[in-house]
Amino acid sequence: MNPAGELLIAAEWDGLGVTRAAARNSRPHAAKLLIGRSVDEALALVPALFTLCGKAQGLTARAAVAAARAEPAPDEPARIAAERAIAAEAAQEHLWRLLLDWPALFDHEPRRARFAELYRRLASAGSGGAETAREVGGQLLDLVAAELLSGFFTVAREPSSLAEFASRARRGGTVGAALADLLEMGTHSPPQGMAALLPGADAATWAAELGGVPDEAYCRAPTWQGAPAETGALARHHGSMLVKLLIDRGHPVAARLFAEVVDLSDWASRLRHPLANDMPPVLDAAPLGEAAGLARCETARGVLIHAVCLEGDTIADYAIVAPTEWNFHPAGSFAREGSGWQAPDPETARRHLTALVLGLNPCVPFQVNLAEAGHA
Amino acid sequence: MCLAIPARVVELAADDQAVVDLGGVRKQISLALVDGVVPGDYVIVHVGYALSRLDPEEAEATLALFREAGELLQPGSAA
Repeated sequence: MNPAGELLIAAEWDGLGVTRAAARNSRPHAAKLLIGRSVDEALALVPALFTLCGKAQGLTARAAVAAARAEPAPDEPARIAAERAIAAEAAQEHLWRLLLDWPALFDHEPRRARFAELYRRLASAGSGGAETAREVGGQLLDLVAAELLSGFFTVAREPSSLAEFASRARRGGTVGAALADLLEMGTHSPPQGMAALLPGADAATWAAELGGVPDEAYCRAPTWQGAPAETGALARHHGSMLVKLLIDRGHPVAARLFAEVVDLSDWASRLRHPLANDMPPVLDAAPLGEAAGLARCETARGVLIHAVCLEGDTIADYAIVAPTEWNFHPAGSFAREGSGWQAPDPETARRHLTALVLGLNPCVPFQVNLAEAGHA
Repeated sequence: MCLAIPARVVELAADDQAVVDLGGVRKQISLALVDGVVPGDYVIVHVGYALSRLDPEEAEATLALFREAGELLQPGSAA
């Protein structure tokens, strides 16, 4: 087992389709490392604990502690800097999937040099000034239009059918090619339906929902109003016309890929125009009872929640609810969509499962192990 | 949210590649996302890429923390 955490997918193919698929998530519960430490020590530790989303984790921890201490909200320059840092990090995460992982899944050449170039620019944009952030945000929007989904930017009207959608996707761009390949793999309507999508709730709503610092069992299998829910790009953009078209026509995995591109564009916009009135706040916080606070942050993979309870300057309790635990909940999106579909051969089955995992976007490395029924 | 366990750079190779040692296991990674890495440095690695470079003191402190907390971090262990 990878000590840093990993996701193991065990599935079975019976000659016709995938009959069983289960996800085992071994991600360590790192919030335990913070309990008993001084607040300053814990806040210094958080960004260094996590491989991905270290900036979002660090800023969310600070916001949760500030809420527990009933401190006033940060001033506008601080909120702008936070939004830029979170947006740059989220865009880096999406580029990893869109330029490396999705093309590779469909045997298209991963765009390693372009990825490295943009990743580095985003690293400087996240900590740099407004001009750098605006420039990199513009480069990302150009990337979407000219290199990822160029087939969608040559005709003004929306595609009127799925066939036209696939044709547009195939006409240009690395993601477009992967999207068309995905559509050609066929439709899939999960027998139990898709999981609910997590609504865009603010920190105060989350504080009311949780009622206190949640325990480890909740953090490992979180629920919204008692039921599992999906977080991430699809939850944020399910109302987008083309994403909705893909869901309605039985292509939930393709909908997630398309939603990820829409999401990348949103993060690019946040880099260019932070704190825009027409977008929900990326990070906010609320009190969670006496000496306790909760912060909510949007990340590439979905909603990140930190909840903390203080005793003076010491962390008495701490919880982190991360996106991977929502999407790979034992009764969540992966559980519902991982099995019960047709695949003519093991390679198709493995590719479909991998696409589903990429669409649900875990924050840990993953492996798909497919056994053939009767040969397990 | 996987844990950021520092890996020590053992040797540099052509094309921005390097060999790192993580708890006795060696693997080849790309240095395309970070600058100025030399053998002996520590890096945070994710799926074949070094994402950031740490100074040795910071890396040793993090490794010591994870060693101390090894049992605590296992899924399902008591808080």
